[in-house]
Amino acid sequence: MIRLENIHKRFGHLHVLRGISAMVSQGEVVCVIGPSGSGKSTLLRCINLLERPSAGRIFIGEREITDHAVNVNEVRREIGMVFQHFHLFPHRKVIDNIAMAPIHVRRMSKEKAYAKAMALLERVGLTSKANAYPDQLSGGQQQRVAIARALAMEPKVMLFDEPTSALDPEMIQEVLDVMKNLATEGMTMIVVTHEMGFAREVGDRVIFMDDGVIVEEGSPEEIFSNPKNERTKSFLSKIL
Amino acid sequence: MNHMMRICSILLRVVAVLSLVLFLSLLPGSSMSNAAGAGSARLSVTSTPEGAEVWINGENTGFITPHTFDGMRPGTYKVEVRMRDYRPEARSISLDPGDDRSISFYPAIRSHIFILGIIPALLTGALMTLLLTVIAVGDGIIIGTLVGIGRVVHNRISRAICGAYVDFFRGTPLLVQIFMIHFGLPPILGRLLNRPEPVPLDPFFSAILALSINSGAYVAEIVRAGIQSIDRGQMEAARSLGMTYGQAMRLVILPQAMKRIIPPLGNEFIAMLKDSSLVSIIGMEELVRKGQIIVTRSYRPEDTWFTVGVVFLFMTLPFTRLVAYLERRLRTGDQA
Repeated sequence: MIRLENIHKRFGHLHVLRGISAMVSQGEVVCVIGPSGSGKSTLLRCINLLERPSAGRIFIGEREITDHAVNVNEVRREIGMVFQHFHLFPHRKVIDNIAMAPIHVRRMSKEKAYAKAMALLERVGLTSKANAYPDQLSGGQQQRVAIARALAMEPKVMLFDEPTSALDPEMIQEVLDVMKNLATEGMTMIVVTHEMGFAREVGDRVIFMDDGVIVEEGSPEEIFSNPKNERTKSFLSKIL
Repeated sequence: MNHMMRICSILLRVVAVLSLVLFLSLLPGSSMSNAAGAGSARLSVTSTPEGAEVWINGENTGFITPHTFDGMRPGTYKVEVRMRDYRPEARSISLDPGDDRSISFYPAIRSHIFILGIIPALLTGALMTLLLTVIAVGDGIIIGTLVGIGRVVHNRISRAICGAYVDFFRGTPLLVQIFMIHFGLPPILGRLLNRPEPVPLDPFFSAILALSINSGAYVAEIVRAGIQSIDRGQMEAARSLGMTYGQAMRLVILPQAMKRIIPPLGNEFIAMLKDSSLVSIIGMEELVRKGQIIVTRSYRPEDTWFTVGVVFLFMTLPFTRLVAYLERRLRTGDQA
């Protein structure tokens, strides 16, 4: 479903991604782990072209999205993204946050968009907050709204960029539960995370990145119980 | 002996006549002294405007200017004219016997009466100032929004052009910009239109043009700062949902930036209200020009300029308060 071919990303003289190649199949949940500064987030941002790779090709399905002739807005409609810091639109109500993109990007009727938004709020357990403003919500609630907002575009893939890193510990689980449900329903997901419990339980595959390259990848069982690479071992020993 | 008697008789008569003359001359206002003239003086008192009470040595004479006092005894007098709504004016004058003098007064109208008198003219000027400011800042908001956005988009040419515009009009004096347009454009227009003569510009047109493009540069900076103060994540979140740059700007960035733009925009309005006074120099009859005209006619710079200042203050004060209020309200309502 997603194919990365030898992706490089440079910021000036900083070489952040040094040749990443990977595949993600339909319905697969891939967790990307690794120390900070290893390029995990940059890789994720390259997949929906928030950053343009300096070299390499990215395919979604059969289409090469790194082709300059491709309309990036069209590509991004198919890829939902959830940010570490939620980035809800503070000037609009929760329900408007979710309905905005379907109305303006998908040209969905307002009634349909709002009905869909309510359904999504029910899915993340926040129907009571439909008319609240984002700053009236807790961090966990905001992140669940952000997930609903991304889902409203009916993406084929969901990207999560450390979705629980900015949350207070007691709010992490409610967000992970929503993500777990999504995985069970068959959503293709790429999750950059430090939640090893989630990676082990929900992930179909784990990728360990360090210094801009994929050091090791495999099933959660292989990576967590029997890591082969020294760097993977040392990283896991520090955080587990 | 008979001869002696005659001389005595003549002498007596002369003394008698002389003493009579002397006696009569001492009686004030007598027609006799007038005719004699030699020992008394004449004083005429005039004033502009006429109709002032004439006071001499602190006493009301009961006469109104213009008036001529005959048969004044020689001496020094303090002459004063008093008139309702005018400041009293006094001068000393020394009269010698036989003088025929006149003294003229130009009493000054009292300040509060003068100020009340110039207020209608100043208010007309204030209205023009307000009109110039509203149009200039209105145009400035349109120009500034376009230029401000032109400075944050990715297009390098747009950024360079908009940056140069802002730098030029913020980096040169408004007065010079007014001169460039009002005096600099006419010969250029003449050449462009192949006319032998420069094409003169209407001062109102020049004033609006200069103030608008100047205001546009300042508003552009306000808009740019407002947009750039919004977290980058907002743009990324909007784009990640498939919105175009324009949609993200219109639906997400600008509504949030607006809240931060409004208070400094109020400050720009206040600044323009004051700076628009510079167009007085090309003859626009706004508040300051009205003040200049009044001063030339009345020689009353002290009352005029202080009043002009107060009129400006009355115009800016409500906006200063409004800006402070908006800043307070928008700060409390600001979401993280």
